[in-house]
Amino acid sequence: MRKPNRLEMLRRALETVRDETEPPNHLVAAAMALHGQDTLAERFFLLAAASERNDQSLLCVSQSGLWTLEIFVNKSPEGQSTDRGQVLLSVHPDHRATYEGRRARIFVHEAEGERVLAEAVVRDGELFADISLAGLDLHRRDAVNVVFSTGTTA
Amino acid sequence: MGDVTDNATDALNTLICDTAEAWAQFVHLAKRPVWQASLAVAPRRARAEELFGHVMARLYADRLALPARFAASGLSDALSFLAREITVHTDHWLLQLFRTGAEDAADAFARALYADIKMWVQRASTPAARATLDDLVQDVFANLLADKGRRILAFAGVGSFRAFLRKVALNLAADSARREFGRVRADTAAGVTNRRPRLVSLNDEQRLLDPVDPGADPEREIIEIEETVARTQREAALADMLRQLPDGERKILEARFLDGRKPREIAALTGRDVKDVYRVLERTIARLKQALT
Repeated sequence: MRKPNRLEMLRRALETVRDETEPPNHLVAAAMALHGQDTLAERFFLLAAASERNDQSLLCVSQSGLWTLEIFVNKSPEGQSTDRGQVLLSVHPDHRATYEGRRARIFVHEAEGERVLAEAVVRDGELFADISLAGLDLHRRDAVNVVFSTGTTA
Repeated sequence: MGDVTDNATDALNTLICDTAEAWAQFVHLAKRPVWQASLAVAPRRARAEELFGHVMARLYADRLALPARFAASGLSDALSFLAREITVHTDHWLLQLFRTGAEDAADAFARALYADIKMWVQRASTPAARATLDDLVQDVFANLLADKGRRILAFAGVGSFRAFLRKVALNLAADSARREFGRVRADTAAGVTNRRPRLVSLNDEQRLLDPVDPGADPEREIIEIEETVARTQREAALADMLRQLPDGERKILEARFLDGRKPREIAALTGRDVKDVYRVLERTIARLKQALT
């Protein structure tokens, strides 16, 4: 990143002090408009969290830091990895109430569009579901997305 | 003051109603502290706007849980509680910057955490180490931010990020102090401390315990981190000085350096004498230069 010179530092500091009393109107309007939007989204990059290739399980934290995602890969009787597995999503205890009863849709983006891996309701801050891992490359290519919505608490 | 606190508490507690009015009232309460925190942490204005949106979205997501969390926090002041919540969401945003490899992550981290880390290190330091506190803090930052924040990214996401960071920072400070002063041992007879001399391994193979990227240039990285931390401190000091200036003098600086007006135009705008405008500019610039060196 380019280092600012003294004049740029002065301008930035002047701007900061001038602007800190009130946020811009468009930001406040955007914050107000949040009400009524019923979905929350999280994104996981396994690539960023996985330190090495591991065939048995994957673990990573969402970009917001609130959610932990674990994927366990099923093994065949011969000890080979299969294309089935389980996903466990768990939220930070401080944020459990926010997500309780929300329906979570776990998906990845593919060339043909969204591929839903699992859909289930968050209970006690957790979600556990079976998923198909066929054709996925969670280590290097596919980021896992989760969208939480209300209204379906069955 | 009491009214402000009561209004803040009301705005927080009525969130449980989950109405548009309750949320609007809360936004009016939170917008200023969130914006000030965003400007203080973000290296650029665009980043500050992004951070503001992030914190507001997180507060919105948590809105139904906030009243109960406030009640359980033991805090009587809703604004203090809000400040704590803003810090938590700002920390998450910082982690996100490191996780996505943002080039200004170290800059934002230094802005957000320099004061806290310095305080933690100062409190945990021996009196001898306090004499070189600034060096110690620089060392801690260099180690924390090295390898694109590898130590920061080790945070598992469970528990408090600040508690995790405090532990890591204090471990790094202790390591650094040991390298500098040797291990401190109490001499029970004399009631003074003895220092074991620092031992340095000449065997490079032993360093493989903590491997680093072979393509990296650690010396250059440390210099860049130190420069970043020093610059963020100068900028913070500069902003503090500007806040302390009388409004009239600050307006003259804004007109000159933000709006690009000439002293004669500023004099006409503010109704001051041109010589007076020159005098204010010279005097304040001289003082600010000192803060920047």
